[in-house]
Amino acid sequence: MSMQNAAILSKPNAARAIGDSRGVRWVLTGVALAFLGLFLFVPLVAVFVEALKKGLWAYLQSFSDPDARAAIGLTLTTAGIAVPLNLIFGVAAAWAIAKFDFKGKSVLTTLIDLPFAVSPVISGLIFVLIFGLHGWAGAWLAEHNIKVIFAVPGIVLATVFVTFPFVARELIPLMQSQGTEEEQAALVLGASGWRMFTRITLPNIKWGLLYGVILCNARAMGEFGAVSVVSGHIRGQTNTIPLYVEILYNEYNFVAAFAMASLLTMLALVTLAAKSAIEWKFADEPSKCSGTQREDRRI
Amino acid sequence: MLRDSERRQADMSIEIHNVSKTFGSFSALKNVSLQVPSGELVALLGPSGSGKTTLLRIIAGLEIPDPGSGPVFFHGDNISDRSVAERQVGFVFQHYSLFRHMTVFENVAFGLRVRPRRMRLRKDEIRRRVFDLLKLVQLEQAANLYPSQLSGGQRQRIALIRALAVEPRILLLDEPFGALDAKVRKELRRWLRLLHDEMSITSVFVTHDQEEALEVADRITVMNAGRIEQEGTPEQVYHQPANSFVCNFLGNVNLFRGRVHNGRVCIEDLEVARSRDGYTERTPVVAYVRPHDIEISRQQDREFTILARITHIRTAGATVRIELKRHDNGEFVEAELNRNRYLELGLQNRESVFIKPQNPQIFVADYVI
Repeated sequence: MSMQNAAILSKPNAARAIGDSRGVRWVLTGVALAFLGLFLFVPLVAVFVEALKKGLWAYLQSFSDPDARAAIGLTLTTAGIAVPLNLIFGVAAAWAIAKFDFKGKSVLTTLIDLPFAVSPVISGLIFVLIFGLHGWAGAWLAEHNIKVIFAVPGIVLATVFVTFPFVARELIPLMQSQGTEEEQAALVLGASGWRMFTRITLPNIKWGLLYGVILCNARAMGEFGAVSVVSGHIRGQTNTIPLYVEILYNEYNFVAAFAMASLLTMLALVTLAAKSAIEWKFADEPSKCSGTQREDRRI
Repeated sequence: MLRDSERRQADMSIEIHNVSKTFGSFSALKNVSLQVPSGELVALLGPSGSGKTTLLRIIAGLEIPDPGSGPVFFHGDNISDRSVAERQVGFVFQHYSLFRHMTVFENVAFGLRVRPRRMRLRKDEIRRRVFDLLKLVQLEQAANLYPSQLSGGQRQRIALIRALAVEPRILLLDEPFGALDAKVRKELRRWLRLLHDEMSITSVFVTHDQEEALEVADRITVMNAGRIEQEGTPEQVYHQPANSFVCNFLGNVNLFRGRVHNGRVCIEDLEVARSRDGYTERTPVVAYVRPHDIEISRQQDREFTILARITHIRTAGATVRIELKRHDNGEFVEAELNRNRYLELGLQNRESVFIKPQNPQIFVADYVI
């Protein structure tokens, strides 16, 4: 839809036909660009300017701090656990929802959206209520000397919870639009369920899946609210990058704070680049295939 | 090996006993039994929603019949509990369902490549088999193309040979030509017939197109509302329809209402047949008459009794189609004449003529609209 609009607007004749004069278009474009500049571009530049204020040496120096290293390590660990888990969950959920009819399907669909609907702070609080010292499972956990809250498991749990819709959300509409006929054809041709999945389903959803994983990863690394509640902010132990940025900032250690922030910013830039690369690839492939197949049905 | 598989194909009948299938509250199949003799090409013909596709999918194992349904036999083996893969059927989907991310070659080779290792052919054998099949449909040059780069007819042919590549025991086709334009359709169904004659593999195809069924099939099973209405050769279902539905569904018909009178079936004053068992005096009957069995005359006599006015004449085509409106009850009648007869009569639009229905198919009018 948006691509069609873009295509129409890029042709001056078509634009005139719709009735937008040149002036209106300039004003609209200008407003949009000014808005983007003020709220996105300026902060983006500011992060790097602040980080490099005292020179490249000070910037690099801030990463050699052990606490900073620990924060980077913990963020990578958390994402490294949360993303694969959500990948498996997302594919399984999307598969079930898109390809089968069962009771409670709409409930499942709604539940997948829950983390988007709930404030991250509340999400973190839920885990504190369950696993915290005074929570439901707290006494039992303390007895067995298992630490969840104010420890790495709690951070991972909160991150998994907050990021689990990304992959599933991305895949459900894609899988629904692809239907089940190709899978059925594979089964009739003698493929086992696993082969059908790896040879037919997975290749058909690979770009959507990658897209979901990238978004999921970005959020897993950048999550602040939920993680903040369960982490306890123990330096060198339970601080992720976003939490560590806050601590440094509160200590007026601006260069270090912005240096850490620049890591997340770069992650965002890489994510965006990867996302548009995939979109470009993604838009290319299915339109080539499913588009023409759909045309056929009209005949 | 080849002879063995040939023999297997040579006697592969399908038998289905008392199969029912409901989707939610919709009953798609009601206690259907079907026998497909070995080596025959059978059409399941019916309007949409008649359960024909469901029946085909049950044979394939893609749909599970309701509990309490009878068994499905392939050549005497009860295969009701076998999985889709174990049934070794070839299935051609209505929308081809080619694997869009694979080339034509990979599509056709798929079934051979996913076989368990001990049954798998060598790479070069797979290659040879695929190219043999591609040659069969004259698409060798398309081996490295993707399905999206093919036309509808080409895709359907690839879908067919993909199904045949694994040497299925039975070939099932779901509206195989439904999405194609008329010309390609005709070409492909002639090709399917030839292919079937060559391989003599037991085949069942679903269609809603009576012309397709009549032209291609050895036997036709006419279905309606989840039941089988009639089963027989194209000749039988066309010329001796079991009931008014079959008669109506197979080709154009004109409907005449009549009554039994003095032991004879009459339409207006014209006696068209003798009364049959179970017909009593004044039983209302309906008579279906094919357009080419309507005779037209300018003179009224004992036979040409029904007065009608010509409302439309279509001369394009091999025969001339004439639409008439009856004077007595305002119903429309369609007649088909050959060109010579039409020129001989010199019929004009809006002219009033007399018509005579011949070779009627007569049924008791159980439902009077």
